[in-house]
Amino acid sequence: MIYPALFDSLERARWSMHSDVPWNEFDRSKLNDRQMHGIKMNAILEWSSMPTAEMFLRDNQDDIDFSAFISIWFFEEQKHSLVLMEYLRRFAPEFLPTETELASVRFSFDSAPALDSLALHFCGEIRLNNWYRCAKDYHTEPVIRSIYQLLANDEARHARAYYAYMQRAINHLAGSAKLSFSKIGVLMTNPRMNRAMHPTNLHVNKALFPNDTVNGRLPDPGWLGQWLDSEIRFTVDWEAKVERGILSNLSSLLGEPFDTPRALRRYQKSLVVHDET
Amino acid sequence: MFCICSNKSIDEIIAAQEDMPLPFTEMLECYTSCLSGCGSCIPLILERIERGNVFTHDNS
Repeated sequence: MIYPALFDSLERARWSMHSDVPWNEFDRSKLNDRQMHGIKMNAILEWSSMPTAEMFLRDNQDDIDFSAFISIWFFEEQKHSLVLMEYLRRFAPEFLPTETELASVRFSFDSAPALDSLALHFCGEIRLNNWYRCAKDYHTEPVIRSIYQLLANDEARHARAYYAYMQRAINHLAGSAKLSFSKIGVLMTNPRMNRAMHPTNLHVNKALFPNDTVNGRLPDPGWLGQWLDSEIRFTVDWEAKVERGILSNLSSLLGEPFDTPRALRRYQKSLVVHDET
Repeated sequence: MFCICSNKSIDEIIAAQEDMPLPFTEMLECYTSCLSGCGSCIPLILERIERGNVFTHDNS
């Protein structure tokens, strides 16, 4: 079981909303309305860990180890939403999300193969880690900078935890796990796709289409692209860090060198051919 | 294994330490972002450094 060791390491790393956020260093002169709007949108996005946790528990009923880990992941993601809302409550209460806005990102996700969801969220955590690091660089207000660093670190730890479960799947299932992880890796490093390649941008409920992405259910559905492109400026350099993080970890996991997305695509095609013969 | 916070593979970090061995904490400061990052890779880096004996002690 991986869960007990993960619980221990994540508990040791856990930060306190009371003592690890320098609330008294707040500087109002370094915060504008657009930035407050972005903090609000991120708080709502983090709230969408609720339907994601529900999906994970539903689709992993035969896996008590991973399901137990999801209890920690859900707690920490909800805490991300809460710390952002606490920031708004203290310094910009007019931007606090309403309960209706939070509830709008809780909707049922269609069932999906458990290994695909695992790999998708592993890639998503790497991306989110980089978005938050970039957001920290963009902001000059010290308290929100500190919060984004805490969030980025948590997302990196979550990626490492997902990696551990991916490694376990490779050991137990080999072929099907390799096929699934490389397929998702190809999807998440495809340069022709929208740069906001994150689980919150995927359609997850056929019956609700097209209103079935988390981002599409935000009060400002076009916000994410604008935040990345015009506000925090998530440039090609940042994108390269995400790509390298995904490819290098998949290289290590699958035992093959993936210097480029193309190399991963070639590997994935070879697995498909092998699987069909 | 790849350290997301440092944007470096563990192999790259160990190679830097092999080229110029530093006390462990200083090594983390110079060759990684683990001290300001998530810290998940620190046990793995320590294990690799001890195994490879590319180590100078803190406060030595």
